[in-house]
Amino acid sequence: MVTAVEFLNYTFMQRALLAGNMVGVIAPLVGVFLSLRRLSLIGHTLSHVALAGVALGLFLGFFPVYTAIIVSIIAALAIEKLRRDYRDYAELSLAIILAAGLGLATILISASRQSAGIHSYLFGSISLVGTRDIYMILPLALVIIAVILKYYYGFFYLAFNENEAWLAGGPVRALNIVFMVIVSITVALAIRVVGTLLIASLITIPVAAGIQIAWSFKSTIWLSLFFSLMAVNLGLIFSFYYNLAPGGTIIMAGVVILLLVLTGKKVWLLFQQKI
Amino acid sequence: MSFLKVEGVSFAYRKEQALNQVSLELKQGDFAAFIGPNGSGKSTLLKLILGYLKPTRGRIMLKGQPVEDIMDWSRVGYISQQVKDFNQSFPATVREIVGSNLYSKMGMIKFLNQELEKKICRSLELVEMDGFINRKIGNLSSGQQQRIFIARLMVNDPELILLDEPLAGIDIRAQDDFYRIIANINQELNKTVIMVSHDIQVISKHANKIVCFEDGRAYPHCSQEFSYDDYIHELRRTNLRIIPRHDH
Ligand SMILES: Nc1ncnc2c1ncn2[C@@H]1O[C@H](COP(=O)(O)OP(=O)(O)OP(=O)(O)O)[C@@H](O)[C@H]1O
Ligand SMILES: [Mg+2]
Repeated sequence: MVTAVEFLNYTFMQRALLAGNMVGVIAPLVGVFLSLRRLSLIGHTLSHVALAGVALGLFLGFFPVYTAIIVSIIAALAIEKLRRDYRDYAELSLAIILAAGLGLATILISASRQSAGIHSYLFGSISLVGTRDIYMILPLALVIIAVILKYYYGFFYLAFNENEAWLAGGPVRALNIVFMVIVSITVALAIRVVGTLLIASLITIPVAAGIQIAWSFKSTIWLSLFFSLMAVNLGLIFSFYYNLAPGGTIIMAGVVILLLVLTGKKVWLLFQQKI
Repeated sequence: MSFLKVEGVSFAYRKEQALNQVSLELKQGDFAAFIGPNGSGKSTLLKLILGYLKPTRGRIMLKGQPVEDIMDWSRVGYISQQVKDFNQSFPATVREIVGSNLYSKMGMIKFLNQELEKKICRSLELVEMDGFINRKIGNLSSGQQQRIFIARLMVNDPELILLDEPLAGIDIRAQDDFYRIIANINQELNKTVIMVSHDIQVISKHANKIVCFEDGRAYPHCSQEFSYDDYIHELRRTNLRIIPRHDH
C-alpha cells in the first residue's frame, strides 16, 4: 500500500533524512555569518576544493568524506591566511584556490579507476548515505552547533564589522580560524546530501530568504534554519518519489521558497501601502 | 598618580614616522580633545593607547600598568573613525548590537540573561535611546547610530573612552545632544574621555585639556590657556596642509 509517508519505511531514506536534517541545520548556521560577511564565495571555493578531496579519497581508496574534510580544512586555513596577508587580492586568492581545487579534482578523477562513483559526489545521493556517514555527520554537526553557540557574539561582532572587532581587541584571529574550520567541515559534510556543485547554494539560499523577512539577527538565524530544513525535507522526499538527484531537488525547493518569500514580501508591502 | 601616561612615544608605520616623542598625561575624569590636521597622528595615538599598535619607542601606562599588558579589553572603550563602515542592511537590532560587546562575559548557551539585559537598557538610557531597543541598526540615522555605539561601549563600564571623530557628518542639534551625553558620562560617571574632532571651536569649549597634533608631535594645553583664534592664526601662518573650514 502506498501511503504518504511510505518513504519512512526505508532504512536508506531514514538515514538520508537524518543526515540531510543535520546538514540542513549547520549549513544555514554557518551560512548566516558567511553571507553577512560577504564571504559566500568562500563556500563556493571550498566546495570545489572538497571535490578534490573526494577525488583524492577515491584515488587512494580512502573514505572520500574523510579526505574531503582534511583537504577543505587545509584550503580554508590557506584562504584565511591569504585573506589576511593580501587584503587587496582576497578575491584573486579565492579564484586561484578554486581553480587549483577543480584542476586537481579533474586530474585525480581521470587518473582514478573508480571514477564512476564521482557522480554521486557531484550531485548528492540519498541511497548512498551509509551508517558510516551518519556516525560522522552526527557528532561533527553537534560540535559545529556547540561552537556556534559558544562563540555566537564573537562571530556576530566579526560579521558586523571585522575591522572594529580587531580594534576592539577581540580574539579576531582565533575566531576567524575557528570559523573557517567549521565552514570547511560543513562543506565536506554536505557533499553526501547535495553534492559538491550545490553546497554553496544550500549555504546561501535559505539565508537569503531568511534575511528578507528577519527583524533581528536571531530571527535571521531561526528563519534561515526553518527554510533550510523545509528545502532539505521537501527536496529529499521529491528525490525519493521521482528518483532524482537530491542535490537538485533540495536546491530547487530552496529557490522556490526564496521566490515565494520575495513575492510574499512584495505583496505585503503593497498591502501596507494601501492602508 | 596619573591615570594615563604617555612617555616619549614614537611610532612609525613601516618607514613613515607617524608619531615623534609624544608625551602626555591625563588625570582620571579628564576630557581631552585631540585636534590637528589630517595625518598629524591623532588616530595613531589612540590605537597606541588601545594597545592595538606597539610604540617603537617610549611607553604608555594606564593606571601604572603598561597598556600592552592589559588583558581585560572592556577597560577601554573605543569608537574608531571607521565605525560607520558596516553593512547597513545588517539584520541586527539595537539590543543585539549593544549586547554584542558583552560577549566575552557570555559562556556556552548563556545568551542574554536578565542581568545583561538590564545592563543594555541602562546603557541605552545613558545615551537617551531607550525606546529604540528593538529597532534595526541600519534603519537609524547616523547620529542615532553613533549614540548606539556609545551605548555599546558603555555596556562594559570602561574606565577610559576613546572616540575618533564621532561627530563627522552629524548635525548641530545632534552634536549638542552628543556632547550632553558625553559630559554626563565624563562628569557624573567620572570617566576619562579622549575625543578627536576637527570642529575645534566646539570641542575646545567642552574639553578641559586640548592636545594639538602637528606632524607627529603633540602639544598639550589646558583649556583655559587655549585660544581658538590664536590656534587658527598659527595654523595659517605656518602654512599647514589642512585648515578648518569655518571662517570667522
Ligand atoms: N595603516 C597605515 N599604514 C601606513 N601609514 C599610515 C597608516 N595609518 C596612518 N598612516 C600614516 O600615519 C600618519 C598619521 O595618521 P593618522 O591616521 O594617525 O592621522 P590623523 O591625525 O588621525 O588624521 P585624520 O584627521 O585624517 O584622521 C599619516 O601620515 C598617515 O599617512
Ligand atoms: Mg584619524
